[in-house]
Amino acid sequence: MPVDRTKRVGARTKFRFEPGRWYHVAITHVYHFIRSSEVAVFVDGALLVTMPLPYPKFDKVREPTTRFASSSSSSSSSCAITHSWNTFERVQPIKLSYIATNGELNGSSIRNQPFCGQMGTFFLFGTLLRRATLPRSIE
Amino acid sequence: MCSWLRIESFDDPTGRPNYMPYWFAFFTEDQFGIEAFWIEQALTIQTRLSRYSRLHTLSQLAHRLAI
Repeated sequence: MPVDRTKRVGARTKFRFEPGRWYHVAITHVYHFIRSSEVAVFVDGALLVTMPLPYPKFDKVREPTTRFASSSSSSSSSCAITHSWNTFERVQPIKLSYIATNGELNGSSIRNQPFCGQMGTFFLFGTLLRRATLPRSIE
Repeated sequence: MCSWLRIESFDDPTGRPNYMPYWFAFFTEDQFGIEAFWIEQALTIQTRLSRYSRLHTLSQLAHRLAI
């Protein structure tokens, strides 16, 4: 059985979507290095809520490795267990991208939960979407 | 990211309980990433991080300070 090495942190809005109604939904996620990163949710161009949410890290993080080192001499012997935290590795590409569903992750038996409805073009911006520029994306 | 969307129903068409319709899910091979879905008609955004991400951040900070 695969070990789940992920920690899940969620931010839930209080706004209740009504079925059978069109909405323009926008999400912006701002990365802050020291303080908490923030996610903002806009519905129909209006800011609904801003909440702290950790920014996803796509760096490949190594798990700590334990080494058992021993040394001996004619007079004494010693041994030590050292933990190594070499955490710098390459950035991982996004390999699993699903729109309107969560798909199947790594072939595990995670339940597929598709979206039942309609969706327009899905825009993914490399720059931060601000309130002033949001109306242009709605049109 | 943004999109126009319309959800026809927040109930599972097959009648299964605990239905959470997904808007999107983006993950790396190690299943780190971000996803958005609805729980009881409320949009939820969730990040999946490594369990060692806090140490990773501190390690990055120490590395930057050293430079």
